Amino acid sequence: MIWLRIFTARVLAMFRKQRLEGELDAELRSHIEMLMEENLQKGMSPEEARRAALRTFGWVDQVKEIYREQRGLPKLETVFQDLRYGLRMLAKGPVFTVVAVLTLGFGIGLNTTLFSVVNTVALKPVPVRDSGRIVRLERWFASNAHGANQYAFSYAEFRDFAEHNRVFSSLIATSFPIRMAASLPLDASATRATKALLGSPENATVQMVSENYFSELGAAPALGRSFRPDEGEVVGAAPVVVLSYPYWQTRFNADPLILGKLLKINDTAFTIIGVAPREFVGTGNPPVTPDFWTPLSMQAQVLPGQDWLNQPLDYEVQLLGYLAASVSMTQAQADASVLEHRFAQYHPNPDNRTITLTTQSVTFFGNTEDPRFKAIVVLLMTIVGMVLAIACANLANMLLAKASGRQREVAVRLALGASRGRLVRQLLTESVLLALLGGMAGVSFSLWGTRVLWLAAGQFAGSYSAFVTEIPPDGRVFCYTLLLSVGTGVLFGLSPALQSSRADLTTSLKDAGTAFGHRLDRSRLRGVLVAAQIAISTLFLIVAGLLARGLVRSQSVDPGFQVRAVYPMMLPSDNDPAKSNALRRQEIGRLEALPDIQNVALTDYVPLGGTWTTEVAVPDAKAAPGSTPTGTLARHISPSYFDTLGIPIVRGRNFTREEAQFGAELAIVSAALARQALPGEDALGKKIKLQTSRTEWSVFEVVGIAGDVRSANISRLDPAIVYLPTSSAKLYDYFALLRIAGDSRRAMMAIRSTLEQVDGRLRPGFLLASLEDGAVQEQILMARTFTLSAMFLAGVALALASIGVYGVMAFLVSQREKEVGIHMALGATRGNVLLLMLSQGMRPVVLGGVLGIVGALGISGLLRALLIFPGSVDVFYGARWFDPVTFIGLSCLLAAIALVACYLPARRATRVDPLVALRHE
Amino acid sequence: MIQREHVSKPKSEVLQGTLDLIVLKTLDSMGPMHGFGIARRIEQVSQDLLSMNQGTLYPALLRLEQSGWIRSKWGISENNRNARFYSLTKAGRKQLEQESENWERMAALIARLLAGAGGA
Repeated sequence: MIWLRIFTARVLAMFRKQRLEGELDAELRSHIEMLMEENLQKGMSPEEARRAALRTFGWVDQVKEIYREQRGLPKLETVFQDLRYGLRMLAKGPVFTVVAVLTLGFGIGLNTTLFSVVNTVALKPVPVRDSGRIVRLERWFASNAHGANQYAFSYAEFRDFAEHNRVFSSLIATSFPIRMAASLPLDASATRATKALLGSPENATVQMVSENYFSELGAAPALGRSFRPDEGEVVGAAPVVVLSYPYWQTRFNADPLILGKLLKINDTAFTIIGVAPREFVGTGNPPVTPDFWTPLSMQAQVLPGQDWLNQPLDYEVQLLGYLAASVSMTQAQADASVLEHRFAQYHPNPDNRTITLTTQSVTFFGNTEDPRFKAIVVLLMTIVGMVLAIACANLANMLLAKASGRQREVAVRLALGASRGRLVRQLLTESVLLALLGGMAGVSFSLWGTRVLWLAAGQFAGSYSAFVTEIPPDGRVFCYTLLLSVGTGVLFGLSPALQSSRADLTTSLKDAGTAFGHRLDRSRLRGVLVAAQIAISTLFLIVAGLLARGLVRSQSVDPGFQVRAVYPMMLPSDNDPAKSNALRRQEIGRLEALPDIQNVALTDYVPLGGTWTTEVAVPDAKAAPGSTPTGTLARHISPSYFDTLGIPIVRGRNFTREEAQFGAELAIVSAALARQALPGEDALGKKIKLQTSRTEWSVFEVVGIAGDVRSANISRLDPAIVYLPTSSAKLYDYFALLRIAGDSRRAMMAIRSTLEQVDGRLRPGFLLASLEDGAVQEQILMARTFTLSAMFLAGVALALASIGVYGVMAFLVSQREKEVGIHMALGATRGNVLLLMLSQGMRPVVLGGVLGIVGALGISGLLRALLIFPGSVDVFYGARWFDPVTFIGLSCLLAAIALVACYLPARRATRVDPLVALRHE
Repeated sequence: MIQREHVSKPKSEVLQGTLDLIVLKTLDSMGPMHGFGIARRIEQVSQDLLSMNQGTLYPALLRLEQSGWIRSKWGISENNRNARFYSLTKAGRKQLEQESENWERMAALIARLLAGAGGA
């Protein structure tokens, strides 16, 4: 602890420097005087006595220097010195400082915003009790299968682990979020007595959890209570739900009387017993906050036909555990793996053996190892990183220009004996100081930016994800920003600092300002910086331009089938498949008979709302293998599908009603698929093979060819789609598509009363949205948001780059005034001078522009290549990926902006009066 | 390079760390003293065998004070001068004991080593 005492003494000494300096002087003086006195007594002359005393004492200044180094913290003191000096320099050029801080603040803010979102969602544990001690169990299969199934365990495993483990103080099980239909209570005044007043079934997300879920996670309900321990004991005996706070707020308008009301899932009425606290977002993975929670003991009522609780190999629930006191992650993993092996002895799973279990911190996103997630994060980080790089290049340029102005100052310092390292350190301190100020601005930008970003994302992710904005940035975000700022400062400060400290003393001292000797070197670096900026902004601009073209096309896109008059409707499933099938059949029959309903079709995936992508093969195709598509979209349909949506059958025939009763092995393929898979052949009567489940392939005979439409997403025609007949045994699996003729409001009322008559449930709030108002609008909105963000980034990049071009040109002109003067004295015209200046200024612009165009071609080519997946979205909406108008037009626009940025300062050069410029020399 | 002839006995350089021990011991045996007094005392004891600029003493005194082994106070010297008087603290006395033990052990070791080397 001696070093600590010494360190404290040294730090204290720094604050009492003047007094200590005085004491040191007095002490040494008194010592020397004593020596002199002694010498005088020996009979020396005063002068001799003084000299002898100094000889005995040693070199006073050296002693003092050693003493000072020992007394304070000299390294730190120079840092303070540099900081003080840096602040003075920044204060001296307020315009530069403000521009630099704002530029940097913007770049850093953008990066911090993205990072804080990633941090909240994927790095930080979810906000629950003692979140540092809770872990999620992950299993590793012998088959090396990756993905969400690594987090899935059976209920039997949960019970076994909970009982036998010695590493977790408690274990929690939760299902994955399940999308399903639920009938909700109607209005605030309805009480327990009016049970029948339920709305029509609507989509909701439910999560089944072990009964200790809320109590262990420390989530004290905002209203009512959470689950009691006994509510997990008896299977099917606890029909209770806890609502999530945002669902309570948005769906029930924060109804204070919600407790005790009923909601219906399938045929079971559940009592609402509580509302989760406001800050509770669940435990994520996937990143979804469910609308309500219900005990796992109710599994059979929520998901009829499945039996999680008794199937020891049915992997359906996630396990979360609190580490017991003084147990480490490694211990927990070892113990859990042992338990798993023991469990496997009683319940072996030969198809899917688990080798080991690991634990990881419970983040909202969950599977952060997913390569797709990583790819998206890396991509976004790269994009915003590029914007920051442009900002850095601008600052480096500004600093280089400033450094030239300080050439003389640097030369004087070097001449006075300052080391180059010391000078670089001082210049770097200045740029890091600037970057830290920029970082502070960045954090304030990002506080606001996170909110804006999340409002935008909320349109797709649902309003329930808003919690991200409510969590303040933590230490990790600040650390990230701090590192980013310091890194940025060094990055844009280093090369100007190195360059300007390499001054050639003689030339710099001889002549103020011009330093011909270094101009070449520095302008090359400047050129590289400008070229890089232009390259990045060209790339952004062109990609944004292509996206904008796609957006324009998306506004007028025609899906190729009827969307305005077609309304999708969910057919809810019930406990008893047979009973529910009978009800559905009755409903469909009654609906078809309604006068306002022109057609009723059934399908397993609503057009524009989802598809099923699978493998396809055509065994008797004559085309060379490899040239035909291997992937296709597929959906099951009833024969009325084509009439309902107005999709033509161009050849062959439709399915018959009988064929759609039992799911005959027949197929109708799209014209595009027929063209590609069987070029030059007649597809009718051919057999195609489709992969119908993970291990099964089935053969279907092609009976018809349908016209091409945009049914997977509206961005492009389906590249290949196979229609298979529905089977009437699984009606509850399907959606109904209702084509309504005439007044839609009247039709709605008729549909509602029909449904109420069939099953006896009241649906006062019944309303359907057409395909156009739902899916089409949603996809166009997505395209718009996507394009607008790209255009925003491109605009920022362009603005920063033009400032960069302008700054470099302005500096170049001021440097070459003398040279221009000579040119003009020798008879050059203004036009000559202008041309000379512009050609020099535009050279890096042209170079960067070409690089940017190549990069943009690469990116759009890559996006184009991704379209080989049949379900992927064409972000350009069919616009050509090398669209010459976009490429040439935007390059010209960029060149024009750069030219203006060059021209403004270059024009000044032509106004140089040769006499004035030369006299200055 | 110029070689200096030593007419008198060769002087030893002060080893790093030894000076601390010497100063502590001096203050221990002589009581509070100012810098000049300490230097004078060291010269007397070493009989001029140590080559040391007296100024070197001050950084060492500062180091000892920072470590909390000695403390200083301004006072009046015997010939009526303002001088800074250094005295040993409790921690310093403990440090001195420890260091002397270390030193003796080391010295004994070296002596044994040298004797052994001579005998072989």
